Amino acid sequence: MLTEERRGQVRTRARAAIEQATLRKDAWWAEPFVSMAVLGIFVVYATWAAIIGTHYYSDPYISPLYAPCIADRCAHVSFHIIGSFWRWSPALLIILFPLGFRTTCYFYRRVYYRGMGMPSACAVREPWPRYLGESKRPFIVMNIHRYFFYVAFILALLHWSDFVLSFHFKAGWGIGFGTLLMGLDTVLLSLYVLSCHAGRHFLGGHVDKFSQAPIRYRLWKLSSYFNPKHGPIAWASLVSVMLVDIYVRLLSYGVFHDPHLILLGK
Amino acid sequence: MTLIQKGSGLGQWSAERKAEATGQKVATMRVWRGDATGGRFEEFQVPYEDGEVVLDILHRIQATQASDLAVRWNCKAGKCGSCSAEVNGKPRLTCMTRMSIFESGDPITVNPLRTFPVIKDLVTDVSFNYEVAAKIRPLKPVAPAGDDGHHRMFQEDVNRGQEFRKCIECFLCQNVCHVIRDHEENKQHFAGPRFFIRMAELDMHPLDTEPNRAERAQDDFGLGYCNITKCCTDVCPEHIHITDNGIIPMKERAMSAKYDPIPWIIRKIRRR
Repeated sequence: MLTEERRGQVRTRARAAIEQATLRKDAWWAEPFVSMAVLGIFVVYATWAAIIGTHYYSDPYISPLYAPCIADRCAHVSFHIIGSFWRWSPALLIILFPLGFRTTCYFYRRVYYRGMGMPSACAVREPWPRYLGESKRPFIVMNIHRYFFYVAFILALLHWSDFVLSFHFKAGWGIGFGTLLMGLDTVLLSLYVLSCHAGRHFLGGHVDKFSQAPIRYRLWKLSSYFNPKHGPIAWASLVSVMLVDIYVRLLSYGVFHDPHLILLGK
Repeated sequence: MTLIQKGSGLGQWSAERKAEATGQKVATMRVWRGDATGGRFEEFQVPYEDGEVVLDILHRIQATQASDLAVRWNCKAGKCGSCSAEVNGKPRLTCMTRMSIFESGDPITVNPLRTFPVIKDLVTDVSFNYEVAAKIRPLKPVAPAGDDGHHRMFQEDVNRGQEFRKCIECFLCQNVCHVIRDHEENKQHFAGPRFFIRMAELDMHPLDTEPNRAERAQDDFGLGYCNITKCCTDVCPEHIHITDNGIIPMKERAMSAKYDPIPWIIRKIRRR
């Protein structure tokens, strides 16, 4: 065992003098590059789609970027909450919540922190001279994630009602291709919320003695089953939101008609 | 990169020729040699066989070409955590890194952990970690419930902690964490991933009565510095989900204790 005297002899403060920012030989830059590119495409598209304020509804489908639609001027009103004074796109009333949920999501934080070089990849030197992480402003605000989770949980439930309505055509109940797309989007969004880290804590992670909280233990186990897949689910749900919006938009513009796979009539 | 060619002497030439004659492969190893005053990469041509690991090759260099090469190792079974180094820039246990994962003929770089002060060659001074460990308050168990003086716990209550107990303290997670790897000054405020899972293990322990562990992780051990880039999880040889199961739950617990009014209201109602 090292005595204090001997310990003093071997202790140094200098690290190995290696100049290179990294000695990795693989394409470590590919993951942050591709991730940021996909995220960038979504941000640009979603911003445009939310601001434009038209062609977001094609009976019986509503774009997930506009759901639930809470303004009187909506093409399909989910709840009459905001009066006719609201002249702008109804998406602007609601998009803050899913946007905030995704922005503060632990998975997306990893993605864009890597995009910002904090760090770009493991064992690759940061370019920043000082680092405070999420201990101080501005990034301490990321702790707001759980509040967005509470809202996202409610929004996910409302998505199911939109999904149910997507079976109801003018000619009667049935299943269109859009119904399948909306179903996929609803399932992915629900799994994204269910696998959320803040949700996992809310459902049962806060408990120390699971043996005394069997229901919360089961809920925590359910969330924990999906939690390791939170990243892939986050990507899949991001793409599905964009796909459904594009699909509804193309129907609304009359580019093509929604194929009705099953139509049961009224 | 400063390189010194080794293995140009007759003995090494013979070893290479012998390797060729017997069908053995030869690896080009670039090993960092030096101490706190400076150092450089030195190149070695080393024969190896299928199934060997990087630590075998380092031992071969020690035995045949550089007897003064300093390498820390112990179990050679991935359980003691002594032989941590960086191979081709990635933090790894050299005893668990097979030579077969590298492209034949490409030079393989081995350097010491970059986050800690170097003592000699591949050996670093990791005492920062023991200093942090000493600051964490130990388990403070409740009094035993039964008359026999034994504590009893249910498996579901200790599953989470048992994952963290797999840690072998190789400190690869500490080494790769950019908070201290790229910012030496943060070592004053930041405990590092290995110790956040230690704190999580204690905070989730069904018998622990020590209060405010999550708040202390945030206030005294710099939990907020972590920005969840998950490099600690990526390099863990025990495949512990350090970020998802340790650090993020501790962040959420700190959040509940410090910022979220809803758990505070629930606690108030329960007390009444």
